[in-house]
Amino acid sequence: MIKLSILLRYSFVFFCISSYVFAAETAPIPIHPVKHLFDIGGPKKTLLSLPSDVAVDKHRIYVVDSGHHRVVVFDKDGDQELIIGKEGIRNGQFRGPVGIDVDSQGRIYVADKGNHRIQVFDKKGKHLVSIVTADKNKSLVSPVDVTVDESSELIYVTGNNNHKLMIYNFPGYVLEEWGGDGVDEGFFRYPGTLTLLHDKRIAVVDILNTRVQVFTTKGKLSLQVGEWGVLPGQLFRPKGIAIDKQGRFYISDSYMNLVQVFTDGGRFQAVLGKRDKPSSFKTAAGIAIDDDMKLYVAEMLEHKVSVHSISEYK
Amino acid sequence: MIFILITPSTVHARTPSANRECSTCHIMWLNEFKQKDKATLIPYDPRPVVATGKQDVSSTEMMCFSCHDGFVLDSRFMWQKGKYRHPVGQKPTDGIKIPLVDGKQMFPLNDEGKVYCGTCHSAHGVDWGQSESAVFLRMKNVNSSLCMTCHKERTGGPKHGNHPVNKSISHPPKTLFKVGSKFGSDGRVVCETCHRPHGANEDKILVIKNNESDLCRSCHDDKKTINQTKHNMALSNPRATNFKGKTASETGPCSVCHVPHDAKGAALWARERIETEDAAASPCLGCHNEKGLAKDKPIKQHSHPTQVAIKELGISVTEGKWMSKHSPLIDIKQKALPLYNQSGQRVKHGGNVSCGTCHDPHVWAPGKTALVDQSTITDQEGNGQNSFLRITQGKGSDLCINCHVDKQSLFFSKHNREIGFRNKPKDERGHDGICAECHMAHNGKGAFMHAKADGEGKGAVERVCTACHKQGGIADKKLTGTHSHPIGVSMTKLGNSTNLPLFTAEGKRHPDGNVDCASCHNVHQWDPKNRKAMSGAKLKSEGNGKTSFLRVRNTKKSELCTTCHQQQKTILKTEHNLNITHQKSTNLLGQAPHRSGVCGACHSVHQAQTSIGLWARKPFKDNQIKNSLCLSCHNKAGLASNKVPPYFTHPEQVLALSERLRRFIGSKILPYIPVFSEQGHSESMGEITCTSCHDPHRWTARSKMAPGKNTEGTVLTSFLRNSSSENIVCADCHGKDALFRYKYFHSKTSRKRHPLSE
Repeated sequence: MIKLSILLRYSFVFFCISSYVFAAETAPIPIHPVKHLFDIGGPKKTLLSLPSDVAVDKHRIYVVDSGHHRVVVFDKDGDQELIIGKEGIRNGQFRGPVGIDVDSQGRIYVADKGNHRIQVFDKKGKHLVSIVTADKNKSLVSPVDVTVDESSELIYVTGNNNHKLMIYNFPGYVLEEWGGDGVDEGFFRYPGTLTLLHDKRIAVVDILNTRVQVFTTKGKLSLQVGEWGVLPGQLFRPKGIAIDKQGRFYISDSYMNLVQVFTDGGRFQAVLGKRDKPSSFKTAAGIAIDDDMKLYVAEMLEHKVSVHSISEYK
Repeated sequence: MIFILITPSTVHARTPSANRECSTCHIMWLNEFKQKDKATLIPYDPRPVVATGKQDVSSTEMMCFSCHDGFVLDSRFMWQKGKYRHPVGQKPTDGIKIPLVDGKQMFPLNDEGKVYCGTCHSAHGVDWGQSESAVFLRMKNVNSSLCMTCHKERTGGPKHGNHPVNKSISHPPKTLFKVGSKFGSDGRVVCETCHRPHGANEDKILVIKNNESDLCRSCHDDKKTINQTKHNMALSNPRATNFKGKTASETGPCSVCHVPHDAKGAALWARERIETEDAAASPCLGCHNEKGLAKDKPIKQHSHPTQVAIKELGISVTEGKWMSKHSPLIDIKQKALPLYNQSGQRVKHGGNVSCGTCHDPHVWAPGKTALVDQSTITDQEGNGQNSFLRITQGKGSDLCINCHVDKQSLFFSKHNREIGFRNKPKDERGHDGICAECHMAHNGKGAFMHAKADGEGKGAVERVCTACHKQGGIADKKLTGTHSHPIGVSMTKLGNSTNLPLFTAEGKRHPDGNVDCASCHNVHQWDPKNRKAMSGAKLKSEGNGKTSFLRVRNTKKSELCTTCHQQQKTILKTEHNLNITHQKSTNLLGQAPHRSGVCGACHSVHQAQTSIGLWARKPFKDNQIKNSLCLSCHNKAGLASNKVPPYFTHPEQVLALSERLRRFIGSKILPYIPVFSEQGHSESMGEITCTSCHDPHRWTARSKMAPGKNTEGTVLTSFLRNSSSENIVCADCHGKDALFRYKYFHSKTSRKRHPLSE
């Protein structure tokens, strides 16, 4: 009896300890595979210097070479095709550009932050138009990123100094200003890159609020993705955003040097990586995904755009 | 219970909280890192070892860049171009003194004692106000105040061998702004004008490359002309190095002579100096000496003086603007030239002349940028049109006249070669302007930087004058003659004083000096009262007491002579002033008294008839020279024919004792009755002459007063030296008869043996 009682007593202790150990086991980070294909640029800074954003279409890769105050266009193999602009204030010149977008006609939209304007070029790099980014009070706005809704003929711009999402029409008049400086829903603390979802909603990276906010075309907040922290599904310095064909959110983090994937409903799914480890995308800023499920990451301090295949990720 | 204790907190606030705001940079403070059951996306590593050493994660480059990448704040320039930045990951050098605040370093080092980002930057504790740009520095960096807090050895300006800071420039160059250069308030030059702590393109965190002195020239653009001069060491002395061992090709044409920090004294000098009393000249002399790099152009004796206060030339300088008390005679625009203080620094008020006053070492020829074919630069010999002069000399010696405005009157005199000796052959320097005819600014052949070989003479001044005023010389028609006013005479020894300039034997002005030619003559001005007088501007113009390069007009009152010979002023109202008695009479130079002056009527300073008295009239024939001077008028055909004493001589074989000798023997107060040798020199024992009893310059011994008109004298006047006959020299021989003989000296009866003496 005594032995039995001792056995039971030890069994209880074992149960408690095993329960604790089970509870304390670190949950593995879900990894989705990514395969590195090649890099454009590198540490010598000769080709690219501090690339801040990247856009893609069927045939080309468009990179904001912000350290050189220009845009460089490559073919899909990473061979240089075109250089647009240099440092300056004239049309066709840039001062500290950040974000970029390209439309179905191959027209290139660049957020020329230092010159307070969006510059539009044709696919040959010819300057078409400059849209001065000003608010309704005619105060100048420093644009961080730009994306175009061709069907609605709207241009969405994130404003660095007014913490707003600005909407311009094609002649360049400001139509709407959403948000402002704040932490509540619908407000921003340094809105960064933005992208258009398949259903025309607009997703904006809210950098210091460490989230992505998704708005309807009416300006209503429909979804928040990510939250503050360093756990999987949390964000510390979100910078880039891209949407794949399935509508999943890919969000880069420039301090944690990784890209996380969220469902179209905003639920965390995985971290891009190899085997069981997240891949490092050093100082990852703007990102883009093309129809071939290739991921393009602007790694600023690496002075390169890294190209990866995420096609295994179904 | 155990489960409760170990259940992790997963609260993620949407509202700002102190915890969250802090962890924006202090990421390792997040609770998630303490939760054992959660896998964080990055490992817990609060003090990682990064490139700068072991330090807090919040101040790593990665953390800073995560916001300063253009998406939140924009400091991309710090990373985009420059590969140079303020050193990090290094221990401070000995020269760096980090101040302490409450016992802690104001600018902390990392765990390894090395400089890191957090040394200067912190998100905490600095109230920047609204007007300042917050860059999270540990203290405000107004006008580079932060930089200077540690780099004190780089401050203090040129006095401490450093480039000036906090000095405003009117037009900060745009080229510097383009490369990220910063100027302080009011366009002040600050540390960040030349250096960029981040994003610099060049070594020493310079904003632009300076191995061709491009940075220096950004502001000192006017100095670029040095490239085409002999002062460009790359051309003239390519192997020459500065004190850091750098040649011009390595460090640029500026830095081989100047360095912005650790310089040797004035002009931020980077080469050897020769220390002199004139600190501003020391850099120049470092090369321009007989052993220096410019040994073919040494500065030797008889060169233009430096450390001369400009006010001595009658020029006042305020805020860099010059104002001369002498009005220019020819329309010239006086240019403000650099002046220096004792330390060799340029000053805006007052200041002294130094090498840099006349020379701009960066410009070979003023007003010309492209000068000569570079291949000939090193061989080119200078002249008054170039030679690094700040003003070309031209025909009118414009550079000299810029300071020596008062000397412009020379143009209107025979001392101007174009007037006085234009027919004489020019020497090679005669083309460098009027002044260069007589002066060489450097290495003259004698005093006054004389450009000609010295003549003969006692003093340096006389030797300069006799270079031309000599037999066979340029001015051989204007010689001083055998009998001329003595020079080399010390006024002090004569017990007299004067306000005329006196000179040492070396030709320097000195209050205890001697009388020399230039005591009476100002060689640069013909008429002392009229600087622009043209009367002397002719080859054949003849001078008189009004002109003749005299320092003071010497006419009615003989103002020049009486400046020294003050006791003789008493002649003015006596009959011996020929302006009173014989206005139309002329001396041997043909000058009436109103032209020759009172003294000049009888005395001639140069070309005199006698050495005694420098007589300007024809002496009467007499063995006793003294008497002959008096008799030149006091004879039956002379001007004073009505005052001819029938008997005037004393037996010449009888020598009398001078009053000095008699006093020595008898120790009595005796009347002054000088006695003379036959040649007219005052002696202790000599002949009794006219001037033994008479002082021709003084009407009466009792007072300075004189009638000022022709009048008859008495025993108390009549130019007698003494108003009493007591103890007169006559008594030495004539005893009691002396009074009678003295009183009736010119009477026939006095010559007879007197009854009392029998």
